[in-house]
Amino acid sequence: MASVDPEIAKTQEERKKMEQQLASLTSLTFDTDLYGGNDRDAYVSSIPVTDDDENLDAMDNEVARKLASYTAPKSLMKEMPRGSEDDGDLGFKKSQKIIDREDPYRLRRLNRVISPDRNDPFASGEKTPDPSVRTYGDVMREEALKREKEETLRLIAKKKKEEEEAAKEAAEKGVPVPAAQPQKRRNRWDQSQDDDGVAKKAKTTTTSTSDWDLPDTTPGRWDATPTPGRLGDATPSLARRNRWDETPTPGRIADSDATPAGAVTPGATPAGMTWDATPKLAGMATPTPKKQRSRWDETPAAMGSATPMAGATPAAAYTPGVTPVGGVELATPTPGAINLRGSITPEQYNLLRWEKDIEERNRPLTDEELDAMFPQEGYKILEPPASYVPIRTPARKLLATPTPMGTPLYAIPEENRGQQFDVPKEAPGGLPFMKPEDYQYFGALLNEEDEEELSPDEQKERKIMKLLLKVKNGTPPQRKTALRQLTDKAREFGAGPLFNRILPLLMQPTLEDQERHLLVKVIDRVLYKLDELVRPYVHKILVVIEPLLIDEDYYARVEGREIISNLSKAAGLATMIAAMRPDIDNIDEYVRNTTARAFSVVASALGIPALLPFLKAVCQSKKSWQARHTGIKIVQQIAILIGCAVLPHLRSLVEIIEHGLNDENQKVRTITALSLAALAEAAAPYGIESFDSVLKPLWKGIRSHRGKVLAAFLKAIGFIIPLMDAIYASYYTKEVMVILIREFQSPDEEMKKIVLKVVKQCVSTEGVEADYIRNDILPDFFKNFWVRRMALDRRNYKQLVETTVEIANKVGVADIVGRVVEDLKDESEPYRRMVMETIEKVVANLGSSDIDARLEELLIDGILYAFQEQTSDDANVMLNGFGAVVNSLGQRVKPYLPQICGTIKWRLNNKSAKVRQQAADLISRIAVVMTQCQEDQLMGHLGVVLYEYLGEEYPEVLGSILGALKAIVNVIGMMKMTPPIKDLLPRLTPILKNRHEKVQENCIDLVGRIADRGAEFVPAREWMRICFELLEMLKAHKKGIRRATVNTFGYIAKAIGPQDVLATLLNNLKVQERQNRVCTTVAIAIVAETCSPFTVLPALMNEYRVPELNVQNGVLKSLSFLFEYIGEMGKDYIYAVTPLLEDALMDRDLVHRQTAASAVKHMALGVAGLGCEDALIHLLNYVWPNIFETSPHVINAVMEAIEGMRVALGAAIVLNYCLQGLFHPARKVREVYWKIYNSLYIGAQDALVAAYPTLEDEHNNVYSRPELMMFV
Amino acid sequence: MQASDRFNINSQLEHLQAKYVGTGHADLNRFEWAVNIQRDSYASYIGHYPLLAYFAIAENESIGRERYNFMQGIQTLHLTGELSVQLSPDCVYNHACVVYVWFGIAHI
Repeated sequence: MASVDPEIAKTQEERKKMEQQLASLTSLTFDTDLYGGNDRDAYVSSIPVTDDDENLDAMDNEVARKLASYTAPKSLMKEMPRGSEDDGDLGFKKSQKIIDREDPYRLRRLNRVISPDRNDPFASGEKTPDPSVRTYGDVMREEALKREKEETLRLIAKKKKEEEEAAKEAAEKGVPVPAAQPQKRRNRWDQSQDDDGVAKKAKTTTTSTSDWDLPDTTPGRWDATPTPGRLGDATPSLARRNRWDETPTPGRIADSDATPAGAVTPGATPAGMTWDATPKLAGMATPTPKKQRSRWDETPAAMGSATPMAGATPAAAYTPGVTPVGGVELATPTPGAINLRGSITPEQYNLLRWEKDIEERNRPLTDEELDAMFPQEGYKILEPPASYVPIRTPARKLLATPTPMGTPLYAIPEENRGQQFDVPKEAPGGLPFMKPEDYQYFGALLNEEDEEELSPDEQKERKIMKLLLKVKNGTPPQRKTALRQLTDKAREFGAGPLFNRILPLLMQPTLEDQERHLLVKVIDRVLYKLDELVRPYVHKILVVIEPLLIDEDYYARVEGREIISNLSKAAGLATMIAAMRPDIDNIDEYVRNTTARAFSVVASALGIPALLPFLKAVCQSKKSWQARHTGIKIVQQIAILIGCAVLPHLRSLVEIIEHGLNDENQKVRTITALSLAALAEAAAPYGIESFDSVLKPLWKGIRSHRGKVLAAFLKAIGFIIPLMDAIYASYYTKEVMVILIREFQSPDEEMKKIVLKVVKQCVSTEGVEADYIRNDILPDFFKNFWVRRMALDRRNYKQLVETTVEIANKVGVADIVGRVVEDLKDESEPYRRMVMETIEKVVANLGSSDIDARLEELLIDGILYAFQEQTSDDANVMLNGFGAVVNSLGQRVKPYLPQICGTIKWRLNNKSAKVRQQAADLISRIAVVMTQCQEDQLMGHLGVVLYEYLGEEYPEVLGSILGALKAIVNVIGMMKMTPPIKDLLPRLTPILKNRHEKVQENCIDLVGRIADRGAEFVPAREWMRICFELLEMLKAHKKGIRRATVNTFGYIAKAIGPQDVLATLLNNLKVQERQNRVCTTVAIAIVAETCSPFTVLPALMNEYRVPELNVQNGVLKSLSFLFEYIGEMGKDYIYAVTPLLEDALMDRDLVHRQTAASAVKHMALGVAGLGCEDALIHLLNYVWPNIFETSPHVINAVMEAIEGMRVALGAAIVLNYCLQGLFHPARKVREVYWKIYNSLYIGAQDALVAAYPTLEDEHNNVYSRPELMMFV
Repeated sequence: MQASDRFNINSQLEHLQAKYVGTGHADLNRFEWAVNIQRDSYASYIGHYPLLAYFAIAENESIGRERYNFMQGIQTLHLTGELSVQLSPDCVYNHACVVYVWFGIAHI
């Protein structure tokens, strides 16, 4: 290797030389004397507008690389996370699919059917709707039928269960009953009869469980049709799975011509026979005997597809539960071109793809390939030895992974090496890449049919598909144009074709967030255009959009709301109600839940008053409790959604739901109470009078109810009490407190949380007195809640701390702290932490004047114990608590300080880094108190200890130690500091090199403080050394560090005089690295600002004479910053720097002119109105010729300089410069001049009126402005 | 235009400027500019009360009358003369169209 390197270098050298020669022949040559020849190549030709956009990598920097640093180089740190990202590309990328992050409840969205279009009574007017169209009545009848069926099935199930129990009882008595066979096989038909199974399922859903909802919550009891996204489907293992699951929805209804016989793989069983043979029996409650898989099932689906579902469209609504997604619309076949994929799920397809890929890479090399790889000469092809026999044993062949795409029988594999399996079939006509999941929707596009032969409708469909595909998978520009076309032609395409294409896409199980966002965007735009045409499709759209309302992603929820809001504005209230009414008492809780949310959006879009009559009717529905439940839930959702805007309608909303408190159904009572809670929360602190009517039932209710209902009632009360006047609040609190105290003992977690919350709400109201709390609440409260168990659950913990703090606000510090202080020595650490957090908050809120001597002793003792005993290092709770208590006690802590300091010192020496860090942090928190206690000597001692630990190697700890030192220095001053500053600072200089942010920040703060207050303690030479180090810090990432550094420069320059610092800085302008130079220029400007410009300018301007590009640019940039910082002070220096700027503005180098122009800008803005117009006009004359520059940075700077001139000189003068070019014969010139004119006009339109030229009149147009000629 | 400056502020500047009524462009003709000037002038007179007062004294009219006249002047600017210049056929600038529509000339 070593011998090769110089060779390469030599070749490169030569090549460069040759290029240079060529360049000198073909283009202009530079003045090498001035520009220093070659190194100009390394410079950037223009300066970006922002300064922090490049070259931040420490490893790029010569100086940084030499530094000894405690942390890993940034480049390495940056590399690491990247590496793991790359891994993701290997096929293990985290799935982006929405379906993968949804819980079972949310997955139920896939159970819904995109219902057929409905009749639009507005459009059809008076005439009776066509019988083929579904009307509101039809839908309602279907729903009723469904409910009835559900009811019957439930009864059957119940009866069965009873029989079973009876049988079991009999069995227990010793009579063997053959009917009670244990069910070994997993059979979903039976699941609902299995009590345990049901309960388990129900628990996983977020809904509350009652007998009523159970049938709904077991996914897939009645919806025997597989939901496409069921997670189980993702695994390709076929063993022991119910055949119902395997059928992938998309390809299930395979078109007969799409799946030719023999093409179907054995892996994906469409199971056409069994499935299609008994489609209508799906709702049957009796378990179908599980058949052994027969060979018939594996035959290609030709038979199955002979009975296509196409004719079953109307029946779809009658099948109980759910037809497969898209089943109706998606009868569109998978095209022949990709016939094989039709019956494979995307997951399986992916698996195949990988398999193929691996095979492809591992195949043996052919002779041709070997020829291509090796050089022609020097190699010889050997004959295989005579004894060689290639392995052709069948067993070996069998071991090779079979391609599932092949036939199951053995066939001689065809050699096709040219095939590239991972590249999909090219989509024609510049269409974007199609994912395998997309084939079923967009497959038709791959058929290279002649567009002319298609009917207009088909052409339209095709067009829509193309546009949608572009929106879904295309590049941003493609997407943009496609979206625009879809929007513009929305009415032309018509609502039907559009939604029939878009909505199934949204139900696609493999949809990703981004795709969903785009499709939703399409719907939004299209809605806006279609307006009332959208009416028949409202329900379809809702089916697809409603799930967005409960998505966990905030933006999805907002998007969903926006769409529904726009939809209701387009379709109108009547249509919305007609579309959603049948869903209100749907048997599926999921549907009711999403419908309620959707209704609340409608209410907020169209106004609550419009919806009130309907809501009233629904909430009083006699027919079904579900309707009442949903109606009341709508009210709750309205309150949550629109917040305090419910106030005007509060009374009517409460009236609508109040009767629900006495409803016969317990779920209705619960939701009513929750709705009241939501209303009260939204209305706070107003509107108590609206709740008058519910107070009595609520307070009566809490005496008669138990369990969940009681919890809901309590919650409502908790939110209503804070709205009351003091007297009433006190009365009602006492009423409810009895129950609350009783429920303190409840083992139910949910109840505990609610009780705590209500106690907090009650206690914080005005009318509740401290004595009452102290005597009636506290004993039970502490007995039941302040137990170790509460500290284990995060939510309980938080709620308990909050409530206790709230109580403390009423009863004072001493009571609460006195009760818990003993627990600081409890043996459970989480519990100690909870106690500490409470004490911290209480003491921080209320101070510690109530704490008497005894308690104080206990407290400090406990805190010290808890602080020392902590083992987990996750939280700062102990530290914060310690700091808060000590700071609050102030001088009273003096007797304990030696002990505390002893602890700190001991812990500073601890093995664990976290402990050391915490000890140092504690010092910085209590430093102020220590001076208050006149413990300067102790602090000096701590200072020395810390000083000794400056060799700390953990950066986090080192940062804390520096912070502690800073705190000590701050309070005891430079004079009394031990170790003395002159010893301390030299020790800090090397630490400045540390790259860790926390270390840097604390160190620069400390150094800056010393430079500010105690610069004289340190020799100038040391300060100079620090200056060098500081230069590096000017490019820190964190703004705080950069600012502190720049300030420190100022302090140092002030302390030791600007000359030396300036010399360092000016020298630094010569370095190569751009970032460094930029920082230096800033520092120069700062020095100029702190030490007056006249101390800096001469040297700076002298530096401009150095014939080096970098230096000159640096000087100009410094000038620019300088004039920016000194502002008005600049008026004394303009005349001094004008010659320099003249020169720079005439320089050949673009960057010179650019930087000079920005200096001129700052100068002009600084001295506006201070009488420097002569110099400015002079400079403007030099700036003006640059207006034709094209480099963006240069032209930007020039335009800004001209703007600055407008401010300083007035618009009229600049206008006069403009006038010469506004009507110039050359268009290029005119364009530039009009641009300047326009910014002038926008900046100072009024001022221009007086300065416009007088135009001559022509014909009968009067251009002159006679008014301005008037003279009195 | 290079790819780099396609998205920077300079390329957008003209577009931003064009949003304001009264700004110009390379294809603006004498008449259009003059109309802008006139309109700005009237607006300025109305906006500065001392100017109005001055004109009122010079013309021996009430200040309210002066203001009314100027207001009318703004509204009827396009009636002060016929459109004496043929519109350039390459008038593709939105801005120009906006101006014309503002004047109630529909035949563009």
